Amino acid sequence: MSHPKTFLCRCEDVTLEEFREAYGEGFSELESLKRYTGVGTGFCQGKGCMSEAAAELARLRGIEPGQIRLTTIRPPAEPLTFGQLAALDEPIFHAAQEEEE
Amino acid sequence: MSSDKVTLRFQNKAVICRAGTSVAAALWENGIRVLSHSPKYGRGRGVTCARGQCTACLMRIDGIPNVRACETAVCDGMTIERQDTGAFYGPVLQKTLATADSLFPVGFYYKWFTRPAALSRMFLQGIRPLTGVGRVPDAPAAVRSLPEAADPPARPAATEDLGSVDHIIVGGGPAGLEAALEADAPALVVDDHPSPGGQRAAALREACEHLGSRLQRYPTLAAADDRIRSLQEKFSERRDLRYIGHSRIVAGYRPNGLLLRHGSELASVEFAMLTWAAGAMDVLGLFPGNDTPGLIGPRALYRLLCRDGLRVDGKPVLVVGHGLDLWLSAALLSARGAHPALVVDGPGDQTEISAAVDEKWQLATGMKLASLRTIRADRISATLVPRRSAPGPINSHLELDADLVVVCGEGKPSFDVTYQIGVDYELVPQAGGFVPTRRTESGYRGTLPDGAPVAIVGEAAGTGPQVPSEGAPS
Repeated sequence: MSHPKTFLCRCEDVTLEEFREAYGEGFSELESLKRYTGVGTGFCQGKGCMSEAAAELARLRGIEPGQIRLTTIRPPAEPLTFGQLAALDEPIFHAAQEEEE
Repeated sequence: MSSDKVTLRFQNKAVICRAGTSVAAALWENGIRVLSHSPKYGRGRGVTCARGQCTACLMRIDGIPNVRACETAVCDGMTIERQDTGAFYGPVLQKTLATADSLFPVGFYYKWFTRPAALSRMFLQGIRPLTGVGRVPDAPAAVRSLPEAADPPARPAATEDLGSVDHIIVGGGPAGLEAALEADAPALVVDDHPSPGGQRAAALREACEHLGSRLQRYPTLAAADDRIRSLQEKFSERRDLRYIGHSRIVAGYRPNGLLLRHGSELASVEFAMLTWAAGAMDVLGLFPGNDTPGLIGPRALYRLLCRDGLRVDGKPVLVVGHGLDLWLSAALLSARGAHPALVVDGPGDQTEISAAVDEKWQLATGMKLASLRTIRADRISATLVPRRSAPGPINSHLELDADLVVVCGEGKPSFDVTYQIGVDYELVPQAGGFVPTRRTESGYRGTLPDGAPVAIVGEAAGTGPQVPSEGAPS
């Protein structure tokens, strides 16, 4: 029987304890915590965990939740096949690239 | 074999199930709750969101990896495999991993494990190949086309003429329908449900019919059902409004592009105006064991019961939370012959609480969910503790066993696509998560960076499931 763990991000298996430890190591921005722990980098792109992670970070830092900046959420929102994408008549991806810094 | 049964092959064993249901529900009814194992800890995961939003039910179906079991209809002869370390390396290693996991303390953080260096290197080398989540598809000849959706479109693609639209409304629930009826120009409503009404419509109708004359004791249910029915009726009378079901927006591109999936086909859509009424996602909460298979939210419950016809008769079900979804879940479960045990974790709901007592539902108040664990393949044990702010004498903790645990709270507003096209978001925990900045009680109205008007309404704006004037506490 495994220990009861509290999962912050189910896609990438990041526990609340791991997130807190990463913060303790000095990662204090949602962006760097995302890169370090993997929170919000799974298939769901943070739909399932980003608000919980951000709220936890605000608590850890003792700041207003509104001050936490959201990280990039990359498309697509669900798994698609290359076949589905290739069948698109008119790709709209070029527009996205220009905007992404 | 009668035609209402189909045979699946799950992990090389035959599984017989009802026709017309989803893979996830079919396996559930056969006592199979674990659909995947998590990438790092190898924990068993079961159907969670039941609407294609999470990772828990990605399986290898008919040789195609990463297919969502919750969104895929069963068909005779379908091959279903778990695509995790277990499928790669067999049950022995899977067991070893589970044993190894129990040796690590809670909070063990693998990136801290840097010394001794040689051991750490070995550990990382061993752990990396185990994190794969899929195998490439079988040889092309063996791969059939994508399995059919659990809720296949009735007509072939209606998306050909989409290209560009004046006003697109994403979400056909009450907020989306209201926005459509208020619009003074033709509008297109897209939603994944086959007909207008949204995530609660079918559940509300069934629950209200079940309660019959007792419905007046559940004013929130009656009001929500009335509202949706009246909106559905008005919507059907308007010739200038169009509804496309089986559709989901899977990406947003600046300045004004959306990628729409209709059935399994994609289409790109350019809009002059966007109304985002895509609702909210279930929030399951942060507590030990919050990934236990069998823990779901109310939206997943409505899906599993109303679309897939999941059998819950005679089963004990724990429903924890407050508000509309708590009472709707309880009434719907009761209509299907389950035995709901209710735990009301919030203030208010006094009218419903007294009605629930008469309904002979098991009831506890002032408690909240503290932890969950699996005690049998199809049974969960829940530990409940008193809420700190609960008035009255302090109850001790409570242990309850259930087949299914439904957590009902404030939903998490859907924000990914609108954020991608440039709407500013801020975290407001009381509203359920990230919500548009500068929103009002009736939602958000603004313009995208290139000037296209965008409105975000209903639960997607964090105003809760009720009518806006009652939601959004100041």
